Order: sequence, then structure tokens, then C-alpha cells
Amino acid sequence: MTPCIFFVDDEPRILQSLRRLFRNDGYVLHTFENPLEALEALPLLQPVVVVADQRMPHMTGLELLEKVRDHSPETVRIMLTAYSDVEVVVGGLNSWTVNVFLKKPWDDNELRMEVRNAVRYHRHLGTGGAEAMQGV
Amino acid sequence: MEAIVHRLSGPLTIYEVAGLKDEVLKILEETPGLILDCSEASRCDTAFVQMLCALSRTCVKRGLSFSLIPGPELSAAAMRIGLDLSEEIPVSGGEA
Repeated sequence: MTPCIFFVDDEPRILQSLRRLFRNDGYVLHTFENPLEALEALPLLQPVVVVADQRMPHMTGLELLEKVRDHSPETVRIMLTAYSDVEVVVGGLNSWTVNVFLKKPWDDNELRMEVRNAVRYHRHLGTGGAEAMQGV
Repeated sequence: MEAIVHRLSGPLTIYEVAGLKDEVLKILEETPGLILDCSEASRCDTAFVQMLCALSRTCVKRGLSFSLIPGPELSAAAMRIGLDLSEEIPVSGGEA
């Protein structure tokens, strides 16, 4: 099954860049400017990975990924944050809400590698592999 | 009994974290303190940083000592997201 990836960012220009970056990587891509729409689509499309911006008007990325974690814990959650969002990073790390953080502006190769690794990790969970984030 | 040094090498990412976590928790059952040497990591991501922060909290709760030798890859993973690792976890040596 082709892995489905969600990108959530309130800036259309960013979403276009992400679509261009991943269009040949063999994923089904869905982009959302509104995090609430991403949440609505979650049960139907069952994304393997959700990549979200932190700063959005309707809901922060951390709030969105917290809901993603609650509804679909096996979905790997990646957040794109500005360099100044250190408190958000620490909160996300400590609450296990976010699996991987990446800084904006991102490095294309690094983001593609993180998404590839996230898809691989999701497959590992699907075959009964251990959940990295529990039991420490 | 002194803290032991445990060296991790190769990629330390979300894919490896579950296995690493079990490995380190097992060591912590047998020692009063652990120095985790990550200086030979070939790559680190923030999922690994996350595991280290949680391990550090666990050690505080259990009254165990826990510190890091971060090395360049772990320091770079923390710096990429603006995190000063030494503010979160005690650092034993090397670059934080």
C-alpha cells in the first residue's frame, strides 16, 4: 500500500514547495491549510506520517499532533518549528506528542530522509515492532 | 559501585530508539549510574534526543546518575531545533 503523508501548514506557498519536493518519492500526498480539515480526514485517509507547522491560526502544530497521537498513535508525527520555538520543542519532547522535530527553513535532503525514516518506522510498528515512545 | 560508560554507535534515530531504550533500561537495572557515550553516532534525530530526555527524568526519579558524552551528531541534532542539550541532560565530556 502506498504510504499516505499529510502536510499541514497555513501558508499555501509552503505546501506547494512540499508537494514539489515529495512528488516523485512514491507517496500519496495530502496538503491542508487548515489543521481542522486534516483532523477530519485522519480516520478516512489514515496517514502514515503527519508533517505539521507549529504556528497556524486555528490550532498550533503541537495541539494538532496531540490529537493525531490520541486518535492514531501509530501515525508518525513530525513538526516543523522556527528556531525560536524552543519551549514548544521541549514541551513536545517531554509529552511524546512529536516524534521528530525539524527546523524551518528545512533542508530538503534532511526532510526527505526524515520522512523516509518515519515511513520505515511505521512499517516496523505494523509488523509488531516495539513502540519507541513508551515505557521509559 | 561507579557509573559505567556505555557506548552507542551507528544511526540513533526513531527506527533504532525502541531497541536502544530497552538496552539502556536493562543497564540501568544493574548500575547506580550511567554515562552514555554517543560520540560515535553516525546520525541522530530528535526522537533519540526525546528518549534521552525521558531517560534522564527516569534516572532522577530512581536516584540514579545519568550523563552524556554527546559527540558531534547528537549535538547537531539538538542544535538543529535550537535545543541546548546541556540544559536538559548533564554532559560528561565532549561538545554539548
